[in-house]
Amino acid sequence: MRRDEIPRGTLDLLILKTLAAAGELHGFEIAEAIERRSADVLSVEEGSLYPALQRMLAKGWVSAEWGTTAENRRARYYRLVPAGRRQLQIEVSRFQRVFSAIARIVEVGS
Amino acid sequence: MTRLLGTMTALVRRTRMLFRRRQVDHELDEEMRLHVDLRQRRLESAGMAPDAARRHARRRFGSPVRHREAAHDALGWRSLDELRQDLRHSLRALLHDRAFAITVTLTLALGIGATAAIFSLLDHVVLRPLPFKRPDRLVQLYGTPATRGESVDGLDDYRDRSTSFEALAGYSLSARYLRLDAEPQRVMTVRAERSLFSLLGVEPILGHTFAPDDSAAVAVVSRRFWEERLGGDPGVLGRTLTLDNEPFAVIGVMPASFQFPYSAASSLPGVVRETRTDLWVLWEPPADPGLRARPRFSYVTGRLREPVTFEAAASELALIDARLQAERLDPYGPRGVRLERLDDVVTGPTVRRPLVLMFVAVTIVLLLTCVNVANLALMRALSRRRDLTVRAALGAGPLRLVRLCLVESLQLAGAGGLVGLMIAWWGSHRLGAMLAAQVPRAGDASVDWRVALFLAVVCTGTGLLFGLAPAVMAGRTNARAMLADADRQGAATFGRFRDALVAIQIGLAFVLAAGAGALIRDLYLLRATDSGMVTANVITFHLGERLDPALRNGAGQSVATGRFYEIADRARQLPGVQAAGITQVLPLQNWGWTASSADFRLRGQTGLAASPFAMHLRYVTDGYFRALGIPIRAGRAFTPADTASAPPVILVNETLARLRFGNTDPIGLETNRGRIVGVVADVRQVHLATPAEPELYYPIAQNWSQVDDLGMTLVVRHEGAPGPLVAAIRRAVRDVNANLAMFDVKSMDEVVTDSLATFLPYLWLMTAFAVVGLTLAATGTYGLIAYVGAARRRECAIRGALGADQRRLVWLMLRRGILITVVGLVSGLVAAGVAAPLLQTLPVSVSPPGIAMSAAVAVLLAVVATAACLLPTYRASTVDPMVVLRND
Repeated sequence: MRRDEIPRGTLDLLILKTLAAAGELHGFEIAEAIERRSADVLSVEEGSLYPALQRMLAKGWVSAEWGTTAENRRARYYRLVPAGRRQLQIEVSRFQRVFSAIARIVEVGS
Repeated sequence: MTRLLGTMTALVRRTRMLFRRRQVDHELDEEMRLHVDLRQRRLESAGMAPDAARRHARRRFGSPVRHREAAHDALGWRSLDELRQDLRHSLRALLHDRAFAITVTLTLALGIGATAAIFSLLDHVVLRPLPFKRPDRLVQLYGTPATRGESVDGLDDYRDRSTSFEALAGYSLSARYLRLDAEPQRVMTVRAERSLFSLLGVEPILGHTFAPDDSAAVAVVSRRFWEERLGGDPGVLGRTLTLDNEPFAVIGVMPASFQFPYSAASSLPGVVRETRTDLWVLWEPPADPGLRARPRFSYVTGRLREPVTFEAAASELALIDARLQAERLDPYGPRGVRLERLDDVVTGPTVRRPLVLMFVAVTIVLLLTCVNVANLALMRALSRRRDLTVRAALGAGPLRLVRLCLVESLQLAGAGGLVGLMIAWWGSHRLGAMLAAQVPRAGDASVDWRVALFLAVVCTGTGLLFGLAPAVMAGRTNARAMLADADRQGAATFGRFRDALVAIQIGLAFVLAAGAGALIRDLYLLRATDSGMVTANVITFHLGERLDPALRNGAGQSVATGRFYEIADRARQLPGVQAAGITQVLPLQNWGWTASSADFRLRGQTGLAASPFAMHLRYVTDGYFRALGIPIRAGRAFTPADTASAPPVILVNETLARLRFGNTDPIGLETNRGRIVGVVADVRQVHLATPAEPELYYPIAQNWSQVDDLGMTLVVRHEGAPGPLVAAIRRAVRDVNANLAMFDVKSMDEVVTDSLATFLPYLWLMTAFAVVGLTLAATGTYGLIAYVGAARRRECAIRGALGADQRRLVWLMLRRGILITVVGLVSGLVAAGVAAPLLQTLPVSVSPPGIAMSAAVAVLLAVVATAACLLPTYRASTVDPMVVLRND
């Protein structure tokens, strides 16, 4: 079951985008949302989500609060804060820039 | 700005997470567990068997341990962990190599501590602003020309005409006698105009300072006086102090930092080594308007009005002087004032320069310790090359290795700094106490946050400095090359560098030793100087009282002087006393009275001498010369018969006789000051370093003008121990005059030592620095040669096995040490030549080390360095070749 590796830095973008769309999610929900939207193409080693979330917490892009799931288990829910929203814009524009550059090269090369 | 703020808050957040590290980890674990559980449940509901679902979920998740580490990494914890590892590792390594750690810590502590102590002194005395409001606006006024005294005449004239000053306050100093217990005590009193305290802008810690409605009978006391004499009584305000039968009500207590004027008491003739001021009393203009016109103050302090500059004020005063001189037509020639900044007065060049010199010297010591420790650290790093190489081979980057080395040296510097802090604390107090009598504010010196900050900076600096060489070496560690030839490479690369370090040490030690040598030589010469007195077995007492106005003139004064004669008589009759006499001030103490030789003429002679010179005037009783062992060269000494009613007689010293009368026999000459009845042998009155100056002696009985508030000194020559004598003399004094305060009881030898007090502390310091420097240079040389010896053991062994001459082997090693020593000495000689002018900055002029002194110091250093080389050389040359070769 090999999965495609996602480009470096893209994970942040995916998480931010997911949180921006869904509001408040815990880790597993974020993982599922990313998988669902990317049709499993991009799913990474799922656990690497958590170091990324920790870093984003430290940078102040997201906030977290402990709550309970529908099955009554303790879970940490993440939510985008304004700094994260700004960061999302930055990441999106950077992604577009890089992506279009790569796309041009790939087209020219073919 | 927002970005900076963001960084700051992010930093705060990270730090907070760091502090609840365990909880962060715990939460992360729980979160990840939940994830795996939920995945497993999802897979189970898709129809997978529980076991398979669990395995699958786990595989999909990846290693939680690794994720946790990645999280730590993301939070920046990993580098912290590494740092902690480095710290722990180097601590363990240092504990293992205890001899190295202790040597380095103590060496550094000595260097850092001594530097911080001297810095504390420099800081408190020179760098800190005076503890007054806006001290840069304060100035001091002095009368000109200085030959007619520096007191300011007609202060009101300047006050009325000048617009440069916010305020001017005049004050005078005097000794008063306070009777609290049975024995009266002398207190140092400043009598000042009402505006003094408001001008200085210092608030009392208790009560208030001179207010407009205060009567003249009020006193503000110093903190020290309050604590020592008044028992620190918080209810002291309003208490009455009786000074010489005059009552004063205490209205305020000043803070401990308040000393005004600095070294007040020392400015009084006859008072030696006193910096304190005990109380301030109010000066009131006399009621008589005639006297009021020109009050005369010994000292005047002023505050410049904003924005008047110092130069503008000085030129305005010069203008006023010119106008005043035209109006006054002073028969003795023009009289004016000059201006000086108060901080220049307090910490003038004579105060500043020796401290700077000491700071330079101690910096050399610090450099020496750094070089020494650098050498030790380098040696240690070389012996640890294998360890470093293995680390490099296992993937530690050069930065990591550099950090490892720097962490270690900073750890050592930190430990050295902590011990150094104690040395600095102790040292600054000792130094402060030692210098308090001569250097204003030195008594305040202590370790405070400024000194601690300085120490921290010095610590870090030294840590980086001596850690640099090993760190550079570690950074260059090339695993492959090192493993291939582990022993040679480092030694070759750093051999020359280490040679240079040792040469520097020898050079620096030479500078210190030459400086100390010059001081010691000068002290030796001074102590060997014949002062003209026999100072052994002489004890001196200072006696003083405030004279009753009734005793101030005519018959009253002969009563006052008669009492002193009686005290001397009684003392002489005590058992064990050979002679006793009285003088107002002892030779070598603060000098008092002089007169111009122009005013010393043969009776009937008119016209002035060609080149007048200053003569010292000394007032003594008949026993004085025997008591101090001063021979009479011709004629006779004073006798008890030279009373007020007898014809006036005087004595001259040899220098005065020679200068004034040349080859004429002065005995029997009648002068305007009395008949010359004898010639006294020269005594060095001013300083041991200064030849005797012209001096004229009066019998106290015939010239009582000097029997004043400052009192007199009783000089007693005794045999045997002085102990019981002091009590007997105290009783005798009290029997004659119970009002006399008796203090400053010391032997004449102590008086001589005290006269060198401005010189001795610097001598001790320089000597201590030189000894430390010499020791460091010796251990540095020893360490180097010992290391070289150890590194070349194999070579020596092979040469020895092949039949090389023992002596040749010894020479081979010794040559290197000698070469380094010579290079060090030559560079030291040059450096000493550059630094020599610094010696001139001491309060006593010290001649720079001459050729003989430099040669002696160089020989001493060469001997020490060679001796340091000999032991390891000998050890290397006598190894058994078989043992060495087998070991390798």
